Amino acid sequence: MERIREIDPMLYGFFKDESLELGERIAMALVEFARTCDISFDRSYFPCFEFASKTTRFSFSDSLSYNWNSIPSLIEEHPELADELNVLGQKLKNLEEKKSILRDARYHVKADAQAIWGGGWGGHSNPDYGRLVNIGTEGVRAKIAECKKLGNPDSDWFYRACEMIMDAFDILGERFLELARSLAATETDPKIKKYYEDAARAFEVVPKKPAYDFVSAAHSFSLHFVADGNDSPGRFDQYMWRAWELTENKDEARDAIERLWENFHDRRSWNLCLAGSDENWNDESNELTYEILRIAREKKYQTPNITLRVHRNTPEVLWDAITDTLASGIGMPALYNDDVVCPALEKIGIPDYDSHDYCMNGCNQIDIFGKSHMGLEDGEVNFAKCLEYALHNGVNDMNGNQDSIPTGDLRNAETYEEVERAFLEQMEYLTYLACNSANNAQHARANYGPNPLRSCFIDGCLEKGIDYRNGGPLYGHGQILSEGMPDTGDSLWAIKKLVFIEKKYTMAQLIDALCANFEGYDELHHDFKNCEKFGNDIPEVDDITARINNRFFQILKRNHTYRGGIYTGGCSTFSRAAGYGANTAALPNGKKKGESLLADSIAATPGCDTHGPTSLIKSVLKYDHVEAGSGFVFQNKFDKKIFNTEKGRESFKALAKAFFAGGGQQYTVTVVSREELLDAMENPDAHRDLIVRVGGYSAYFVQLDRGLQENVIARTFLEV
Amino acid sequence: MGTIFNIQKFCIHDGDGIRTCVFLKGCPLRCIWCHNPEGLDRERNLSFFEERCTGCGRCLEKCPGRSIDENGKLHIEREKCTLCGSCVEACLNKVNEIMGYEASAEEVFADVMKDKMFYDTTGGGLTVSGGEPSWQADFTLSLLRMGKEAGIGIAVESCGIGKREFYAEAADLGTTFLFDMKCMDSPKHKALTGVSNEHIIGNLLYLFERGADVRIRMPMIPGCNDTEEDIAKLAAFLKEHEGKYKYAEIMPYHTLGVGKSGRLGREAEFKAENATDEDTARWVSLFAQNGITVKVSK
Repeated sequence: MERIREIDPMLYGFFKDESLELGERIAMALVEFARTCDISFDRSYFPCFEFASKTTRFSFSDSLSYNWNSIPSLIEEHPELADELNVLGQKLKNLEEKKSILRDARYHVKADAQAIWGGGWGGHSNPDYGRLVNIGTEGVRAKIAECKKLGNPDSDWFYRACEMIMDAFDILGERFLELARSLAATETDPKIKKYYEDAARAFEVVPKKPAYDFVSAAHSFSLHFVADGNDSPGRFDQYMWRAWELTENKDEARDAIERLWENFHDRRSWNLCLAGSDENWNDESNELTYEILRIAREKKYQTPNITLRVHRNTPEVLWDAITDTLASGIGMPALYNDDVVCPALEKIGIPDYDSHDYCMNGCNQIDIFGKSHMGLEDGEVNFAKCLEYALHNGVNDMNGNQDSIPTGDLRNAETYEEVERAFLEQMEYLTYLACNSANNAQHARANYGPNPLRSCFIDGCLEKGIDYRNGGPLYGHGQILSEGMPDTGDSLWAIKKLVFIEKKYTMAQLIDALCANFEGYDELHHDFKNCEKFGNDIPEVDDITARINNRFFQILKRNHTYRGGIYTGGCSTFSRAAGYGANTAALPNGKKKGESLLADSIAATPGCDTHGPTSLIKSVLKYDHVEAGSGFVFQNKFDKKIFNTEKGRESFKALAKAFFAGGGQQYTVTVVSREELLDAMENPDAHRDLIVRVGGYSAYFVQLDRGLQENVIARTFLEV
Repeated sequence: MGTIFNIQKFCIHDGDGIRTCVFLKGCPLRCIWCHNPEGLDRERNLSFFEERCTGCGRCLEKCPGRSIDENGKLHIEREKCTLCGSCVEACLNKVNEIMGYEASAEEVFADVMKDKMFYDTTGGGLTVSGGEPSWQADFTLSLLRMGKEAGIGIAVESCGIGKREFYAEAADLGTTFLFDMKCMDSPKHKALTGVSNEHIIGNLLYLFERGADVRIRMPMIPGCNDTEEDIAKLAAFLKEHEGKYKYAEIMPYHTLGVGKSGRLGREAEFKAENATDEDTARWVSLFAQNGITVKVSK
């Protein structure tokens, strides 16, 4: 084994004592690696290293990956160790197989059909990055010692693992101290020399003890952030505030944030959350909040994704800074409304003193900073596919297989209610399946991918003596997202109107047309496609979409997670949406087989909201946002010019405030892009919602003559 | 009942706050640059979006006024069109559209009130536009009255050609007037718009005298009404009545109306280029030389 230690310390650490629990072995691997890994300072002069060897790699999403595939290349380099390495490779392979998602054939069928997804990836969450910065490893060790007294006797190994994580940080700190000193000694550029000297001074103190100013805090933060795998910085303006206040030279601190910002960008970090309120609704924005918005405007990077929490007491000056930032065209920050999110969290049993600590993990799922593992993203249910199953009695119309349960032949349906009921039955069945699938995945990750590092930084783990992945965090709710809701609602409305109210077509005709992908049914297709759609403030249409979604949320709540919470719902469309669309057959909203377009999260199907932003907002407010414990995403599109006038800016603010006052949860602004306008010239149907300003008038872009469209494109982007 | 051709939500440049604009059909003026030609006739019209026509022939069946030539190009004889709408129903490509529909003030107002939550926080409300609102005076006044009762902002965009009583009654209700001024020289005004301007200016002076909430809007068309003399005269008038209106705004010309005219079977005789940034700067500075600060519509 000593030879293995030389060629792959992480592998050695992991296999040093196989009698130990996995969590402890992973911690040993990290300690071993901290001693030997390559370290450097990156282009921003902050610590740079990576917990990755040829055979294993540590990151927040996967914990330790058992990369048995790479054993042969290691053997090639060291043929004399072939026997030993082959044995280890086989063991890694066994572990990886057990860890890889435990889905049985049932789930696979539905996943391949793109009806559900239940991977329970459970990647992102929001560890408390303020802990190392503000109490140091000494503070964490003290906490471990205290908690040990509370914890159950079976958890000794867990606490040993957590202590080892602190050892790893201390070792890294000492090595960076040495490195900084030697670089400072030889560096000739005074500015860079100063950076190294500052680093050396910092590492004399951190990560053992609390940071004493912003620069030392930034170094301590970087150690944790990088070791953990560059996830979501979370409530950065809150946990870095103490260090900011301690810093006399604010220019130095500003410089450090700007350098960190480069780092966030280079490492493609995820979500950084600003401002918010405490449980007494006091505003928590501070100087750092504004500094970060300024940097975001100036640098215009797409990562990290910036979230900003607004609420009843958000000051006007912060609204102005938000508007300035959005006007810069970066599409950030995404705004979340504490007045809806906090009650939503309280509804699932999270007390107000914790609900007000929420932030976003990854793209936009809600977590409680340093207190929860709410599972981004456990699963998804494709509503459009559920409707397809309902219309074809459980048969997948893409391939003719009986994938789902039979819910009746709707050709003979006599009332609209029968149709909606069949859909709800399919949706309920597939939702259970998604939850079960996600639970299996959570189970596998808990058993084969414990994460002692994160366990040290999320409340509950140390107190209970239970790993982060196994139900340790205070809150272990799960998140299942709905996809294609408006597409489904629009389809149901078209059936209700054209078959049961106007009686222009029969269910049998419709189903025949769907099976034929509308070939030979031009008029029927035209009528269904041009029925009223969600997003235009038409109550009878919007109510259906809202109703089916609220039902989904209720069904979810009946399901418990493996981590020890309940499932909550949300809706944000990720890259998978295109796949869902492409694998869903023809639908009564006029969508043809294979067309990849599904609705943009909770908003309308692209091109279907033709009455402007206020109508779209009214429609979207039909959902019960307080039930969306996982988070909603709502995008409003604007011509860049709206931000060019005072009136436009005021109107934007008014829209956002009215949306939030009306019970809206989240609001994102997209400034119309040049690509989109170009695409709209070629595919006008998908962009019927695009409004641009022409000569003092608002006009639908697709209604303009080609020459004028070209003119608008030239004009809109002249000033970018 | 009134005839309208559009209800547009989230209008932010047509009065205070966030507003809904109701566009009425019918205008007695014939401004050569008209950007809303679908609002000119009091009657409904057929709009034919030729670029979208595939020549499929589905619309021919019920319409005697249509034919397809050997190149697959569709021809319409508009004089035979009875606005029956069968072509709209038959077409799968949204080529045909009947501009304008009859609606009661109650129906229209119910739609306007859907956005009340946005008016309340911004001081916005209803703006009646056109066409020319005063040309459907009773209908417009009904809408304004309902708006006043509902406590939302009310405004009209008018070219000033209506009867004095219309402005009097609207002013009684507390209406905001977005009042167009196109040219001070009456013969020239007639050449550009088809009517002379004495009556229009009379109405404006009446509103000034009433102390009504008036905002002046001046469409500026390159080569038409933008000589130094034109602007000096406009500025002199504005100077004389400074304080009687909230602001004066210029609206640089855009070719928006040209395409729409074609679709309505109206050959746009008027050809001008879009106003450039240089044009706008020149106008603003000419007004400034005459002591008037103007806003520029975006």
